[in-house]
Amino acid sequence: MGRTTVSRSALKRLVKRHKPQLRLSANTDLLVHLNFLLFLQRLAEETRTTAIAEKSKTIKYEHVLSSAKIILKKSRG
Amino acid sequence: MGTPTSPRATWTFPSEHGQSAFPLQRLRAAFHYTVAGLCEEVGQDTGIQFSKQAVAAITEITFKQCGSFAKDLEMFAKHAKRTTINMEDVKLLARRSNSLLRYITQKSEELALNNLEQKEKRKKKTKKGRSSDEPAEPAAAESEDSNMA
Repeated sequence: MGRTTVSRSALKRLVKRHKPQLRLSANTDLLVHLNFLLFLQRLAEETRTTAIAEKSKTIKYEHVLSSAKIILKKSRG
Repeated sequence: MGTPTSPRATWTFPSEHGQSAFPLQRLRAAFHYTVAGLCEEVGQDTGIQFSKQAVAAITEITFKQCGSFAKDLEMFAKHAKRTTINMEDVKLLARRSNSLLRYITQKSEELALNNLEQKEKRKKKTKKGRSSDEPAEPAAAESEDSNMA
């Protein structure tokens, strides 16, 4: 079992650092966290397919880099 | 119990002009015509010709893209509690690509400028119209004065 707790204060601090004047309403940080988890899932999936396509048994730095470019572009709001 | 029919399927264009009875097909044909024209232009500029299949594929992509654009714009307007889609929504639609956003912003500014100019022209026209009416006003004031006296 992985960790299931959400580091809410860290998340809020992160948002605060990027946009100091922005305020998060109640429990929005949980949705942000959910979005982040889904992003991570998509990134893992994409990285795995790139690694398989290159006949590599382990996920390497290049795989993550190339798929991060794709997934970050896809995740733009 | 029957097959679910979309409202679009039942809604048909009056086909008295001998054109297709399906509005979507007519729209698609119009898209195809425009896309073909644009492709021709690009072909003349770059010296590369488009095959018929390529033009058809671009038409199809444009069609699908328009559907998603419409949905997005609707959502943006709804989010702002509006029922009218305005330029801000369109800018929001183009925000993902920086160059596209810049281009659209520039175009919208041009449009706004044009609108302003036209409004001023109209204002001048109405002012002229009013100036012809103005001589009547002092008379009315005089009549009021005479009433006062």
